[in-house]
Amino acid sequence: MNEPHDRSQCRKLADRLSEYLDGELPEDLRREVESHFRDCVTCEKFLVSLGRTRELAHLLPRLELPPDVIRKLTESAREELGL
Amino acid sequence: MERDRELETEILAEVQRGEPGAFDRFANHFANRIYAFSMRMCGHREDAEDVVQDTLIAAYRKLSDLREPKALTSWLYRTVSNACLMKRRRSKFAPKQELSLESLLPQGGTVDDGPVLPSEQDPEAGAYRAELSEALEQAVRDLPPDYRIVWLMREVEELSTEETAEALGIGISNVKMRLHRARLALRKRLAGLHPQGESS
Repeated sequence: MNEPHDRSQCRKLADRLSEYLDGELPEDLRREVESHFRDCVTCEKFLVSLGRTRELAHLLPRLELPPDVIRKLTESAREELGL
Repeated sequence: MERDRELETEILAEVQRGEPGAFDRFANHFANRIYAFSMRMCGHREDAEDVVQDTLIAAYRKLSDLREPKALTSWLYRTVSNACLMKRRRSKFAPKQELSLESLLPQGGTVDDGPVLPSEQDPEAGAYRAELSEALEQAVRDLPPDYRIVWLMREVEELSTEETAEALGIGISNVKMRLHRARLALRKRLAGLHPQGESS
């Protein structure tokens, strides 16, 4: 069902969707969001796409220092600390 | 990269007990984590390496009088963040940027599909995965620093909302707001990418 409805509700809830995905919404608001999704395909679709965005972080390339640089930095730090 | 909190706590406890080799173990475990975070905040390899060394030294000194090793996480990222912000201020003056919520939400009752994740099963998805990965790295780099730092702490470093708030010295609602807008900005930015042969 996606009948014309008050878009101000969409706007209000859109602001809290990350909290919904992270399980950080208070219970009453969580129920309000879920009830809204049953009536609003647009918001539900938006939530799904935001959920996918939340999974992106593991795609970031791994940034690592070469072992010899770690060794050099550790040696300098050890020297500074008098170890 | 998933955090092994148990291992971290163990290493920190070893440092506190002054065990032989504990500093090296501490440095080997945290150096790359600090480096990756610093690289994405500072944007320069030399700056990021300086931040790694300064943070390792400061953290080791701090650990001796820290009663609860778990509290080091927030402290560590606060130290790294401050060091990165100092580097950034030294390199150039950057005006504060805000992400407007209105520009990131669907307009006129229609919504695009957002980012398309690469299929785990499809052997052909490698090229798309690489393309998305590169586009994500650039999109993260282009986030305003106040949003980028929260996104990195929450999504990459896996700090809790509370740890992030503590590390940055800001309120929990502010962390949630910045994370949400950062996600919305990344969602919008990466919405146009699709695996080859697919279209929205």
